[in-house]
Amino acid sequence: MSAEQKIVERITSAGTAGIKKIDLRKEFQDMGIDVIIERLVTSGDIFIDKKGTAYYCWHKDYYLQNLLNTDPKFRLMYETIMHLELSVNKTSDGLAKTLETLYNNIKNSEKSAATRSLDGISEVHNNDEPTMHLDRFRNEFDISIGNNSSSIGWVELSKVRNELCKKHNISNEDFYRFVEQLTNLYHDKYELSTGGYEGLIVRGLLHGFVRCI
Amino acid sequence: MYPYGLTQNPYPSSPTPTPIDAQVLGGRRHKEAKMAVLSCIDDLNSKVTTIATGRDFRLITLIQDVGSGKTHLALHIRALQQICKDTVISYADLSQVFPRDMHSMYSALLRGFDKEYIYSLRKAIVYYLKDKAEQSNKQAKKIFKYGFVDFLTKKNLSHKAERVLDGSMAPNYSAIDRVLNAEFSRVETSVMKLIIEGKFADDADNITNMEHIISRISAMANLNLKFLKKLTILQIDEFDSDKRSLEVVKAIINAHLPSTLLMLILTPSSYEEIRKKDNAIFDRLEKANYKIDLAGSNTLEEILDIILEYITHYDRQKCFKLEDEKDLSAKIKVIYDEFPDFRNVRSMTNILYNATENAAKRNASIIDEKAIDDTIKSTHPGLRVRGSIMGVPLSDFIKIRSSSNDIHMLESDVRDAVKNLLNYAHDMGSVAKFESTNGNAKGIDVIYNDPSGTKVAVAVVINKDHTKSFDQISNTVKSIGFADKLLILTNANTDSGTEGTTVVNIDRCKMTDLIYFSSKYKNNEILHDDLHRALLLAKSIKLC
Repeated sequence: MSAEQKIVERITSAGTAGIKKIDLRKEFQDMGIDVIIERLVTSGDIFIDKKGTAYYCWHKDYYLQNLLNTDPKFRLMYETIMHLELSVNKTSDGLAKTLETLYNNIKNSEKSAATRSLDGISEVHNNDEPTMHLDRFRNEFDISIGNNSSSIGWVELSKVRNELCKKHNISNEDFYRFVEQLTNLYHDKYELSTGGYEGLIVRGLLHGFVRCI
Repeated sequence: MYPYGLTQNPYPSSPTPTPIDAQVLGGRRHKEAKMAVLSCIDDLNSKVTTIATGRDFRLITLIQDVGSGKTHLALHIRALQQICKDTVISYADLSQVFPRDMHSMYSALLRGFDKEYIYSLRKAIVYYLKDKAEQSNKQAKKIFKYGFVDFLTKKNLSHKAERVLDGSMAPNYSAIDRVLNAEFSRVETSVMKLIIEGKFADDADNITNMEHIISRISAMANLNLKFLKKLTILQIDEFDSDKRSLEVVKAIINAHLPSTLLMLILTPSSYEEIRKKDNAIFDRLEKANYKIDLAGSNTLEEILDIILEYITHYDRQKCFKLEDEKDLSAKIKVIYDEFPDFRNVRSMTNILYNATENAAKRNASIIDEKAIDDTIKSTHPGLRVRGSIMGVPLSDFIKIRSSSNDIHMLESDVRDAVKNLLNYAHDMGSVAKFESTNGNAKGIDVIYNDPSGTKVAVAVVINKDHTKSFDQISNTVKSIGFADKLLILTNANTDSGTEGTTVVNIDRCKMTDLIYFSSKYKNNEILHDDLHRALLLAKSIKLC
């Protein structure tokens, strides 16, 4: 073990109380202690401070705790800084969460993207409560299209909406959210057509007719 | 030079099809619709004898949404060589007819015939009269003003007929009346005189009521059959619920025009409006001989087939190889899946037209990701990849999506990306030091300390088979004992986290975000804009 290591170990063993420099000098009198201590202070491994009339040495791991124990002014400042850091972290996290929520809201309102589950089936949440499972809606939707469609298969979405909203007590918004999800998820199964008086907006055009392919 | 060695851009640039664009017809459903029309023509042809009757009338409806290829199909059929010898076709676009009344609609139908047809009918009638004259019909000779001098100068009747046709000699119209009245109806004679005069298209000025219109169209159909041995096809595009249009079409249907096929092209919306407005005409449409359905005309399969057909049509040197086809199809699939706005034939051909031009300007040998990216940026500047936190450009999105078909490679890429993201978060001071996994925990990809000193182990579990993922997650949960918290990133879409275990479902979009970030990070391409996005991405999957 080198002289430097011995001195560091000795200072560390003193803990938060520190060790008098003069005691160190006595203990390691056959070594050039001043040069070593100066090097350790420069590298930041130890700290020297005056306590009473004597100079004490602390290892870096204990010096902060010593200050907190002995200097109330420093302790107050330290606590204020820590509080500030906590507050900044919280704000930053909150901001990130808000941004993410905002982003999700925009995404939902634009596309009402379905939350895909294992088998590709989705649920729509209204006020965080599922109103109807998409799979069930799809069955009802298909039946209604079958019942209401013309000879060429097309049916006005308003007709289907009237029927399903009344039957299942779902709102118009939920109905069109479901339809949007269905036609997005199963775009090879349903076809929308422009026209009508209500429906979905695709490419800036009102699509008020639907049929199963 | 255009991509794939093409000498021209194969895609149409106009928002509505032109006859030149309509030479190409792609798509299984569109081809089936074409076969249905041809079958109807064949059927009618087989029934019509030399004299047409009211039984030889057929009605076809072609109903589909805007931009699905109805007009394209109609124009394609009109230009088909295989039916040219059997049919004459008038194409009238009612969207160009305003104000809509019987005169303007009749005029549009007359203008819808092409010049070659009018010339051939005129020639056939003039030569018919010439033949009559040659059969010593005195009145017929008078039509051509054939006299003794002509006989002496050895000018024959063919010479005279050619002079009538080139307009250098006016025929004797009184004589025409006398010759034709014996054989043709008064209306037919009147139409024939107009044709000989070359004033065929001006006939709309002569009519006063609907009966005139019907009798004249009927006369034309008879003349087409008699002189040209051809059926008459009337294509009426953009047919809608306008009262005047309904009246004219109803009259045409009721008249059972001889040897005629009426093709009505309309949208489902117009069809529904007609149902509400006029039960009588709706009932007739319902009873159409052929109701052509382009169902599924906007499906991926149909759009792909159409897109590829354009290239193969113009690829005379056969430079477009199978691998090019696969590559282009994969790109189109990504566009189709990601952007509902482009799930339409017209929209997709428009993108492809611009992308082809872009690629040609850069001398690219294929329609590459950059061409598509640049096109969408310039033509649809507000469009973004849905759900992307990192704002992945479409070109990178297409590349990543194409390479992520191999699930093992995808898992490996995501694993690397998570490590890179944590490294980045560590650099930014959001997470503390990493620890070696030391192989002591099966399935753990990275271990780190979060800012509060909690030791977090992260496992990436991505499989095609979700059952396999559940087993893997379960095994990982059992083996973890040395960390305070386990974070599982998976595509299995489960929330089956236990105490101390957090399961985060990452969809394809998140994975693409991660891989995109990782690529930028590895190449030292992280820009200022990416700093916040990357941390937001890390937070969104609960890494910090």
